[in-house]
Amino acid sequence: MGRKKQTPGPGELVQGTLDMLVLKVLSVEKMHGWGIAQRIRQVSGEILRVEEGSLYPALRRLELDGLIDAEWGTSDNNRRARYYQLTRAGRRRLVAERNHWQDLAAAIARVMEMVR
Amino acid sequence: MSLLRFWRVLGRRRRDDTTLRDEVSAHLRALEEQYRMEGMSAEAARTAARRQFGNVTLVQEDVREEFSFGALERLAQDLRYGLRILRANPGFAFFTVLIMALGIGATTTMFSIVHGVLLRPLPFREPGRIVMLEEKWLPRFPRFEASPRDFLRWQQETTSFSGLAAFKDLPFTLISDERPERIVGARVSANLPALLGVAPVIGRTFRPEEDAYGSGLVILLGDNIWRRRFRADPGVIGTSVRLSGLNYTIVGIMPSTFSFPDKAEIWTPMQFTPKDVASPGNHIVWAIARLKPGVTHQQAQAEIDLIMPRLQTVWTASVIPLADHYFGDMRLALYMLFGAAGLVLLIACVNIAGLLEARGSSRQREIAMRAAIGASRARILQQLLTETTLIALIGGALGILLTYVGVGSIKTLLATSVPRLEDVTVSPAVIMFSVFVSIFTGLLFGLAPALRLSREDLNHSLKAGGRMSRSGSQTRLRSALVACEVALAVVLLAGAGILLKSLSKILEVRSGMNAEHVLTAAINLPTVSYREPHEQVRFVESLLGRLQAAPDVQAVAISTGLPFAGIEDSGIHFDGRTEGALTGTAANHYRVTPGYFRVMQIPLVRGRLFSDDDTAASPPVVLINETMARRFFPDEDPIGKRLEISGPTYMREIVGVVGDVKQEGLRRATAPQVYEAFAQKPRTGFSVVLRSTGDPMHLVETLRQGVTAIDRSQPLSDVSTMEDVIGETMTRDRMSAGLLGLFALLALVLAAIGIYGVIAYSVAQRTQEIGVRLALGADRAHILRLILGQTMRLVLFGLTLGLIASVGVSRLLESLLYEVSPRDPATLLSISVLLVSVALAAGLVPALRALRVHPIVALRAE
Repeated sequence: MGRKKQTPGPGELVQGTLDMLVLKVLSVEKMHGWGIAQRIRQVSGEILRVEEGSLYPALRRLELDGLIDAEWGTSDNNRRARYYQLTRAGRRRLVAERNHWQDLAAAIARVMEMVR
Repeated sequence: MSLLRFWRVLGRRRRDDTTLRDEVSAHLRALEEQYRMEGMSAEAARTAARRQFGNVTLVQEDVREEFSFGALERLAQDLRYGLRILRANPGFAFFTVLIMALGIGATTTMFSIVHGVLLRPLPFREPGRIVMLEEKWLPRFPRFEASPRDFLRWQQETTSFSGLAAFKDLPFTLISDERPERIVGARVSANLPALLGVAPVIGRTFRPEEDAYGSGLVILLGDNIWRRRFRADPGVIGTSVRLSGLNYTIVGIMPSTFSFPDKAEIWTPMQFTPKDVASPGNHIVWAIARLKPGVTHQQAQAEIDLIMPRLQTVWTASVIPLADHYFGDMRLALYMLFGAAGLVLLIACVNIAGLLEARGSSRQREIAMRAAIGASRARILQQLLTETTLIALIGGALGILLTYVGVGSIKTLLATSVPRLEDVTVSPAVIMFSVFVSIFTGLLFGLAPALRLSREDLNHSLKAGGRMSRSGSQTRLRSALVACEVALAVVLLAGAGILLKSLSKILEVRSGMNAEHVLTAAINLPTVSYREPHEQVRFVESLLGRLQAAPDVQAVAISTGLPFAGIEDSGIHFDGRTEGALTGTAANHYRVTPGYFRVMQIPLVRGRLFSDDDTAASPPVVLINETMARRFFPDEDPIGKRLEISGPTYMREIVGVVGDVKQEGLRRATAPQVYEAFAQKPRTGFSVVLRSTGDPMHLVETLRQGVTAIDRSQPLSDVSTMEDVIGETMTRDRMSAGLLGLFALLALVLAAIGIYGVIAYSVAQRTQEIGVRLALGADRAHILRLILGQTMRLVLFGLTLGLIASVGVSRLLESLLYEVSPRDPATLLSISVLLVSVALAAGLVPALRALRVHPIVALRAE
């Protein structure tokens, strides 16, 4: 609480979109925290950087809200890692968030492409 | 959803710290591996991974936040931490909690009294609509009973009131188990219970027809006496009880909350006699009324003002709210003391704020550290305020304990002289008040230091390591706080000093008699068995005869009234003169037996005293006091002149002049006084006065036996020493001066602690500077002057401020004072001297310590 919210700079995430991105990544396959950060960065073409400082609180939040589940597993290179996967509620939430996002993006686009 | 979340949180929170640590280290290892693969050295990869991840602790905190239940949990955490901090600094904790307890204790005690006496509503329906109608004849009688004639006319002619009732106290003698008891009762208009809105518990109240003269003797009993003397038997309704020699029928029992007027336990209908209404000058009843809905006090007053000239010549009447009638004269004193207690609390707060400031310097590093690892300013503020509120609440809890002690002692000291005081308790409302005040003050004194601390530039603090000397602004804030304390203390000291001076002036006033070794008691003979004057005289003579013969009795006498207690005022007409033509000159009117002047040691100025030969059969004689002699016979000898009392009656001859005796307390001027021989004009109600050779209270049994030997059914009441009777009239002055003095003392001690604190701190800060000065050969006296000079600047500033403020509020005290100006220069001077000396002493201790500093130690300190 209390840290100042600032306008996001280039590459920083718009407030509230991190949850959606995490859900999207996990809808493809179950993954660990580091992997989620990696995947978002790669897929966005190195533009979106996920700060670990906000990733883990977000993961806990989603977990406690019952949108994702977690279990310990072993990673590709044989390391122990905590894997997250979507729950049924998480899938429903992802659909809702995506629709909302698309509406929002389209609305913003219309405003920005206004001619006069 | 939220309930599910709650369960998940509960299930996970304990284990999650470990989980997260594992998860984070896995993450870090993954990052590290990646950097290594990009070709970094092991060392560089680890650093890069850590930098990439960021502040691990902060992430942990944020994750933990997800598991918390928000504000409540943070509060609990802060409270735990606050308690730990207090335990770690027991000295600081002890002082702050003690100071707080004193402040809260003083304020809450006064609040209990003010609440219990003034603010608690009277136990009647819509008490705000009830008024008293007081008659007055200024300036001698500002508030007086009404005459039944006026009262009856008001009842007929006014339209402002939905009801109008009269009451008059009437003592009853109840005999049960062979033991006579005097019971406080009242004659009341039949509609009084209905007017006040009080219904009987059992039975009924009076019927309108029972108000008429000769309509039969009925009574209402109070709950207490019904339980005490009638074993709470509901069957008593309709039965007859013998009171003061007459048989009364009990018609109802009133609830335990009802004891109006004063402490009445038995009520009987007013039943005005033809004699009651015979004269307009017969001021014997109090009138009470309920305003009709929508009618204001002013409208009722206007109506009464129109009626009065037709009823009376010199008397007018005022409509006074009921609460003002009973508590009007205490209100100022009580609020003044409440205000004073509030000032003590304020000083306590300022003091604690100062202590917090001082401690703040040692906590600066801790706070900076918290900020450095990511605590926001709001979070730090919250934590600091929680700590101070904790101090305030612990202090407040102790303060409530002090309140019990304070309320208890005030009640025992003042029980009889302040109405409703005995019902005052430390009620839930009082406790709520004190909790509220504690929290509020906790925030108040915590805010300034907390704001300052949370604003600190952390780089600065961390680098300094808490060793460098502080910026001047902090010392300035503390100095300002101490100056405020001094100013507030001055206000209290000035008030207390002036009240004490007034009290000592009152105590210097001579009463005109010698109250030492004098016992007094009241006797009310039942009119039924002592109807005739000669019966009354016979009782008195027989009683005096017995008591005179008893051991340890120096002298004994009877009087119809006692100085400082009650006396009737009568109108005097001098033979052939026109002063006070209509109602006469008002004078205190005593009817005494010859021994009275010997018992009271009132000097004879000229002429003679009464003797046993002044009887009903001999010519009527009177004595007058010096004031009357001086006022009405300035150039002639009053002896032999004649006067009439409550005329037109008959002329009495003045045979002597005696000394003035104070009647209405020591503060009031003595009125003209006239004494009649009891044997020439006896009555059934009177006081016995006994002069003892030793402790007067030892004579109580002698007196009681003397009375019961003559009449077994005759009770004694109001047994007291004359000194207590006088003391009673001064309890309020004593209370005001005593409590204010106590508060002022507290204020002075707190201010001294404050001064000591700020000087000690500043000396500690300047240890190095002082060391350097000493090393360079500075004079010790010079350094002493330097430090004391700082003290004095502070004190003089506060003193000036305080003196200005106390002159400002001095008007409040004016009406409480006797022959002292509220701005009495001598008092203001002496409290200034007192304050400066205490302040110098408080500053001297740290100053002397500074001089003992060895230069080497001081220099090494940095």
